[in-house]
Amino acid sequence: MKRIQLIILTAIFGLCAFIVISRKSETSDGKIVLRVSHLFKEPAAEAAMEAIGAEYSRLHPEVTVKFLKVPLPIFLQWFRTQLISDEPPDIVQYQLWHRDLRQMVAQGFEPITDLVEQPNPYNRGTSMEGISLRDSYVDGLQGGEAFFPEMGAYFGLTYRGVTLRVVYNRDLMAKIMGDPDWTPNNWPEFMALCEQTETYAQDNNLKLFPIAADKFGIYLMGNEASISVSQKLALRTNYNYDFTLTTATLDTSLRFLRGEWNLRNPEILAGLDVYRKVARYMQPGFLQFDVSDVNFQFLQGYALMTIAGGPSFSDQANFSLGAFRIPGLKPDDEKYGDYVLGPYSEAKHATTYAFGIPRNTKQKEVARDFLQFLTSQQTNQKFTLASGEVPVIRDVQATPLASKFLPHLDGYIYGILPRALGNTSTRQLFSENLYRLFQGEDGVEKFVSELEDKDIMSATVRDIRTMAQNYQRNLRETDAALTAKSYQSDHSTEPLDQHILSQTLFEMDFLRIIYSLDQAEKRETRQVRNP
Amino acid sequence: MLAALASTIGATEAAPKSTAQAWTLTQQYQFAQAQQAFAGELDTNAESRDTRLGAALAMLNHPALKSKALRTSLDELQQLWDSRGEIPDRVGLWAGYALGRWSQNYESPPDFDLANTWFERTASAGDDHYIAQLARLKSAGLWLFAPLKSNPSPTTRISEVVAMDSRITDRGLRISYLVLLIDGMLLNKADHREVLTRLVEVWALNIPPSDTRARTLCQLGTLSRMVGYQEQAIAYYQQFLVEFPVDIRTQLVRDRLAEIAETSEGGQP
Repeated sequence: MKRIQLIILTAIFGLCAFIVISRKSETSDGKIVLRVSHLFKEPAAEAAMEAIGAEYSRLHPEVTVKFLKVPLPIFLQWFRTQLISDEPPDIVQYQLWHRDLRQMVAQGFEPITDLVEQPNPYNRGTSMEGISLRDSYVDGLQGGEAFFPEMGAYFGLTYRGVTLRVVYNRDLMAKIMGDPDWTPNNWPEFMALCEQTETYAQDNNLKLFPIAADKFGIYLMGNEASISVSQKLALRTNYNYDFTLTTATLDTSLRFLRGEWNLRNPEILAGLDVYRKVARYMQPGFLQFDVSDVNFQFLQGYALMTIAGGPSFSDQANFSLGAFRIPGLKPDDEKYGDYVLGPYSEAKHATTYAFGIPRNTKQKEVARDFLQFLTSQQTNQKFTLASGEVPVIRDVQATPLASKFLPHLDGYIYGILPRALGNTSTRQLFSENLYRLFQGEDGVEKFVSELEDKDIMSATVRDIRTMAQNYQRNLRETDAALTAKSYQSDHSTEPLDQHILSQTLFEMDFLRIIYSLDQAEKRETRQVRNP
Repeated sequence: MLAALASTIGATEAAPKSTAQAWTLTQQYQFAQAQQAFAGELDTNAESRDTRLGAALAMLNHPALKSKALRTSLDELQQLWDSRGEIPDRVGLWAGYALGRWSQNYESPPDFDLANTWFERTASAGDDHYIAQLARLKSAGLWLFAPLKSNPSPTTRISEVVAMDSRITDRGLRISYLVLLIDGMLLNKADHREVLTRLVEVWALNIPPSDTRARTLCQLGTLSRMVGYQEQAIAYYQQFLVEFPVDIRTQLVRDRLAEIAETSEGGQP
């Protein structure tokens, strides 16, 4: 085992070393070399980026754009090295999948708020002319990879639209349902499609499953399918009447700590039952698979459907793909309809894969200009058509498949998802015991009992305490920046207003965390005294 | 003293030598460089209170903060507070405020009582100064949410913060104060009419376009409806639909309007 770990570490080190050695920070032929690292692994997206670089060089002959693809599995280690180096790439694409990354971006990247608030000069002559860069984005750049509320500043410009959809094999759909474009309109139809697929496989003696998914896929599909079942619970526990879970993970956890919901709520049990129903149609042993196994199974035609955050693997399939949104439960559902408001709105779905500028870069001005070029409507249109990705800029036309991934804006708030509870400790507890949910007739009871026995409340408290420490760390940095802003703005307080409001909202979350932890502790003490 | 400590962290010759530049670096969260720049300035201008404050704050946030540097920074802030003068200067007030923030945001676990003491001291010393008002805002947050040793009841928490009402007059701070107060009142189950009064006030201050504005409109509509002001509820909900036609809350707002239309002819009691 240790030998394998050593080999993996050596391989990662070797790859990082190769990337570092192969970069060239110097100019060649008197030209400026702009180095841009990206995370796109799909050949079409990679080629589209190269084409964008070439076009920028045509417009600006003094600049050569060189791209560097960084594989996501080594990104964290690579990113750490770059931030302390004297010559990081001039632009780095990041995704904040690890908790350390957020802090690293906040400390190591240039704030680009001024760029975001100005109109993009490369949008002249388009429908986005005169509109601020922020407002030219389909999601108003409201996602956590672009805007850092704790700092009151923007650090990145996102370039990938992500919405979850069921992706299916159109050839198989035609054989099973008689129409390659047949898609279910509601939950019963989705379940019927899964049944029909199993019948078709049996009748034709085929190794074919309705859904290919891995351990992560069951969460994605389960969450999507069950999110509406707890909408009324979310509304009932909305003490401040703002009609939303401000931050899904945080609010879900704090309401749990305050005792406003628990795993025994009928809405939560119903959601877990929906998980079981979806899992029933996944390939056997799905908890043991990883994403590459799942992609292989789907691309080899062993499954009618899988779940995806975008149309990125469309160029790897030798059959045509369709996509549809998982139809969640509706208020007319016989069993669980009373808990449901309706399909949820994807208006809050934010774009991801942000490009930002490391502080240590030597070519900030060129980097800023390239970011504006990259996020112009015309460039995003070319990227979208060439890569098949989902557009991030408004009025950009999507490919037919990508259009299925455009967010559905109408709908209701999210429900409370137990999987959104806490962080590392709770999720580990959830994952380690998930198999119980799918065993026997009383899987829901077994799963919930096990989480209670293993004290999921304590695990949540641990996670939220860690979260509070992160909030503290960010708050003290904003304090220093706020004092400095006061010194820079001299007598007027106007420039401080936005910063103060951002800090207040962030701090209010911190204080709510403290309040909720205190409530959980007091309840625990009362239970010990009066068991 | 701070300049000498800078060498332990690694001040370089290349550090910019201007207090204004140093503050800019702090504003951009570049604390290591800011600290070097402040330290460089202190070499030649050791009496500058602005520079001493900046150096102490930048050092507190330096990524390589050491315990000795930490103690020095806190001592420096304490000295700046102690020498604030009869009519406290801006530096003295920031120092008092920073010491409160230290207790809240650097200590683990946070010392909310000590933080609140510093905020109240700063507020009292600064009277109506902007920083005194800011300290009051932070104190309000602690009164509303923090587990203070006196274990105040929900009513006491709210009344302590309401007592600050006339002492936070700066528009930007007042918006933040009211947003905090409204949330704290609702969490502590205050009377809906009293909450509504605060909501109406914060709305009149013209909250900048943001999620806070959307949230406030939902709260205004819902609380107006709950206390029986149907016409106002309709107006706020309609305003929401005008300003936020694409929002995760839009469908709920539409539903609420439909419910009001079904059950009431409108009208204020």
